[in-house]
Amino acid sequence: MKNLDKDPDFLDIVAAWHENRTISPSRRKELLLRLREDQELRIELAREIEMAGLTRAAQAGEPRWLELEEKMGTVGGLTNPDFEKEVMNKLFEPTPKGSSKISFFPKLAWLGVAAAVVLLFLNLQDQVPNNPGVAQVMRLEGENLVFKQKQFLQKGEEFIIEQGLVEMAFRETGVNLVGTGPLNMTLVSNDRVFLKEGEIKLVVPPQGIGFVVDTMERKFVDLGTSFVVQANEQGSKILVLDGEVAVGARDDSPSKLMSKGSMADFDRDGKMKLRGEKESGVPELSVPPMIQTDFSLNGKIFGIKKESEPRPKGKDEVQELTITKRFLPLIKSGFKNQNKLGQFVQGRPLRFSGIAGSYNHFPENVSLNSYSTIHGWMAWYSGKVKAPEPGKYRFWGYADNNLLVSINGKAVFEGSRSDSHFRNELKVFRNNHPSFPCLNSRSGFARGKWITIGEKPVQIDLLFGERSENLTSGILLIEKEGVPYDKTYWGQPMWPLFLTEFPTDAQLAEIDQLRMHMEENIKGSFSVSEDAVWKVTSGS
Amino acid sequence: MSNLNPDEIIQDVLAGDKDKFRTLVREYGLLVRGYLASRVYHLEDAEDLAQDSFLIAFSKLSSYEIGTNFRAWLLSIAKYQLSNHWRKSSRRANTMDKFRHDIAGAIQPEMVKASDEMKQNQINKLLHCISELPDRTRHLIRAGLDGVRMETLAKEMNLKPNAIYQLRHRAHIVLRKCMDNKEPKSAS
Repeated sequence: MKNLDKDPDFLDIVAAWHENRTISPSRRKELLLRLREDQELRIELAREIEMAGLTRAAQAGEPRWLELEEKMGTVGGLTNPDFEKEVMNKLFEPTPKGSSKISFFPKLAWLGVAAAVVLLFLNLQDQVPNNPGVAQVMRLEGENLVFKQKQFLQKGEEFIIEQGLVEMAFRETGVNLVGTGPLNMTLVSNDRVFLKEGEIKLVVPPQGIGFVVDTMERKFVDLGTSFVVQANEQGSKILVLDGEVAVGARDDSPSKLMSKGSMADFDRDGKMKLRGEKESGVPELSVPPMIQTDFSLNGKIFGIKKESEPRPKGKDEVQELTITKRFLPLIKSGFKNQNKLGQFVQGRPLRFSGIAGSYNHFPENVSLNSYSTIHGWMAWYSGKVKAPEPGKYRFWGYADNNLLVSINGKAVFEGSRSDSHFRNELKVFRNNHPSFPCLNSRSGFARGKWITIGEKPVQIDLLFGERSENLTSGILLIEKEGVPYDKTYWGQPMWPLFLTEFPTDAQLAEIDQLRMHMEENIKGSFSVSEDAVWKVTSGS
Repeated sequence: MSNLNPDEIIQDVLAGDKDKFRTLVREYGLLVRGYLASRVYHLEDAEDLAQDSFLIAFSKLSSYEIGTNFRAWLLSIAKYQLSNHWRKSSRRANTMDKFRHDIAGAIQPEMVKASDEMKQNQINKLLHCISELPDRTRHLIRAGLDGVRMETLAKEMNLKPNAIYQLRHRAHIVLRKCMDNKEPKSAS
């Protein structure tokens, strides 16, 4: 038998099998061909898959098959208490298990005791025999957990899980909390938690405004929003996904307001470090070869010639003189009025490869050399495309600064930043999702209306650009009605990137990096699917 | 448990002692769950399908022919459940799901052989064998279960993603040997 564990084909197939790792069509074809021709590879792969399945099932612990128990009319459960419990315990000896204990955490005694005593006093008269607690566990994933789904958690209860995921709803405030293990937090009251370790994401409805998350360093007061807080031994950090959060110190110094898209770190001494967009670390994809074909969605990039106009002074003038505003007549005319485009300088012709990630160096990468950076730039892609299949579609996305999609001359999606001319003057329908995260922009994760697409190709015009200077990012996804997309742990459907050609292997690898960055840093994600590619029937 | 005679238990269940079916679930639970978990991407789907398989087995137990192979009969139910699941999910399958289906199609005879090769007494040793793996290796094979992506694990362990699959494959070989009654050796 060959030693296959160094065989790249074997490892790539295993990776695709276990993790749905994206592989290009040509590589898939190559791997399937090898698989069909190599019996030893097939045998070892089958054994590997069989073994992986067994270890997955064995380590997942005993499932609770309530339906089966009910059908059998048994009360004793289906597990073997002697053998498996003993072995499962042995498996996890090095790791402390989840625990549940009612305790008032000593390190924040001044806060916990005060809050608990006050609230205990206030609630005394309302207590009922079956106290439903302050929050209920709605979803619990993991193993060896002391807590149970649907369990009510009491005021002052310490919630600890070593791994897995928990979703809980606070009874009175309607706050939704999702946490990932390792997690150690205390439910101080109906509207307050103390996070000692771990990561939680909160979505706070209007009745929950004022909800507080305490860490050792700071107090985060929600002002109607969605945000993520992390805490560990080194300190804590916050990422505001939507709305605003007041960050308070432990002394009487005034709170600092943080708004959507902001991120900050706090060390153990309480020092705060705000992280700006420059430090977002969002990957910038390479610019692919821009050779245009009849079957690529082709485009142009425009800028205002350097020193052809006075340099704008101040934000208002930048806003007034930006190239974005000069594209409004084109959009309003259904992309027919191209009279003013001649005044702009252009880079080399573009070939659309999706909108995803940072575009800070995009103008120079596509040879838009002699443009005035302070006036911004705009890319315009145009052509006839055919949907993968007829049906209802809608776009999701966001951009810092400008993103607009038009179908047959009518703008159907606008995902620009809040101060964009596209957003404020075109008034295209958009709805920002309250909790799905953005890359690093202030635009909000936007969606457009459902649009019905038939068999025939449609004219698409897509604008993406920067208002001024060069901190640009964006993402554009497409959803088809009725398709049940896979979801992230955080509940966001992984809609596919809007593409008109399937990426090459090199592009796929970069896109995967971007997706990983999103998943690990902001809990957002997307997918790449050949089935979601809108084929170009004729480029512009 | 490895000397269990399923036919005797089935006769008891059919005679009215429904509770005895639990013994079969305990004995063959891991076999069925493992069989499905190796073929279905989401573990929760595999668990649901496994429960459905036992539900069908329970309700159709009278159709099982005493003296034949209960394990094979049970697995044929699981296979049927699996093919139903694939048929339903293929409607919403993405490209990579289809690729997995293609792989499964290409190695189907070998998959049947691999699951047939796995004897019940070997399966019963699996948890013990896992518990004897070194911590690092055990962490490695647990990673997917804990929702840790291989890329993340690779970074954490300062390895390339494919090296993680390589190590996990070696760990599986060690486990197979252990289940064959050989001493497990370090895979790391």
